Amino acid sequence: MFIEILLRLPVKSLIRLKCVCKSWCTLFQSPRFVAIHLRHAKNNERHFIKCMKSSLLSIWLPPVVDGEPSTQLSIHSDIESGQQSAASDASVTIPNLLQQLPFAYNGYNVRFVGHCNGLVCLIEANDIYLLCKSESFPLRRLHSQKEKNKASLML
Amino acid sequence: MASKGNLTLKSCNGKEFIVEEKVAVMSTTIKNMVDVDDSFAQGVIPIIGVDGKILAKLIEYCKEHAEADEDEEVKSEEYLKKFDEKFVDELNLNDLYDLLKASNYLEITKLLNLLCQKVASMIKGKKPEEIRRIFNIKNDFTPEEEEEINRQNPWAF
Repeated sequence: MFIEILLRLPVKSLIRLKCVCKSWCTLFQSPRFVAIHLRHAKNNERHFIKCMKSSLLSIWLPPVVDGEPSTQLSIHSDIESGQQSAASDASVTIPNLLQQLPFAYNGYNVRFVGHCNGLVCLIEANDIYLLCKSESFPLRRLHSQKEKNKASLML
Repeated sequence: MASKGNLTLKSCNGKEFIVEEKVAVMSTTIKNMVDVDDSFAQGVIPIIGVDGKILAKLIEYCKEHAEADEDEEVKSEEYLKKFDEKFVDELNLNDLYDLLKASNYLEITKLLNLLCQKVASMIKGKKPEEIRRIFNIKNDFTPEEEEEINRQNPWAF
């Protein structure tokens, strides 16, 4: 039953709580717990991660208008329509996400690499960024080569 | 077995509650007992390990939800949401724990989900030492080990 409760915690809380005791630490790192937690999150997250359940067809990086990046990043998925075409009414928008990018977005310097389990991978120059829909952890730049290798394997 | 009859539930400290069957069978455990053995429907159903105070709480919850399931007009989704919020907010930690155990044993899925969510929201955002204190968990890491674990994911802190 305690697992039932812990499954409902966001990843950030789980990582912070790994040091509560050894059994929690082992539990949170076990592949089985991770898999169930992910499934749980997919069923309960409202927007972003849900669109990842079905195939994500394209990510639209909006052009810069008057030097200001658009506040919306559109992600097109076929989740609503079930069609192979990226219909605009099936898009999911994430407000303000691009504003959080730590580099100046000029309309063409970012490349969408792929997505996996609710994470979206973007490349800018030599940096790899992971985006995810989370208030506390929206964007992260991968620093080490090890992390970059992991990300490319994942995608 | 009278499908619209009443059932008698008896807590572990001997308190008896007469409830409508539709309320009692919100519990899958009770539903299975009644389905398998008619004598439960007529007689008294012992609810092992659940005292009168907690059983009364369970019945209060099941009553609201059973009535809402039957007639959505009378009890709207919004009403139920407010009821659920109030229900969990009024519980102290001991009652919360006892109710969790009881709803798990009696398989009252909706309530179990609600209570798990409540505990998760209590845990979320708390520091490890607060969690240990609240749930009475012994820290079996050495300070060095703890520091090493925290170093692995600095972004989470």
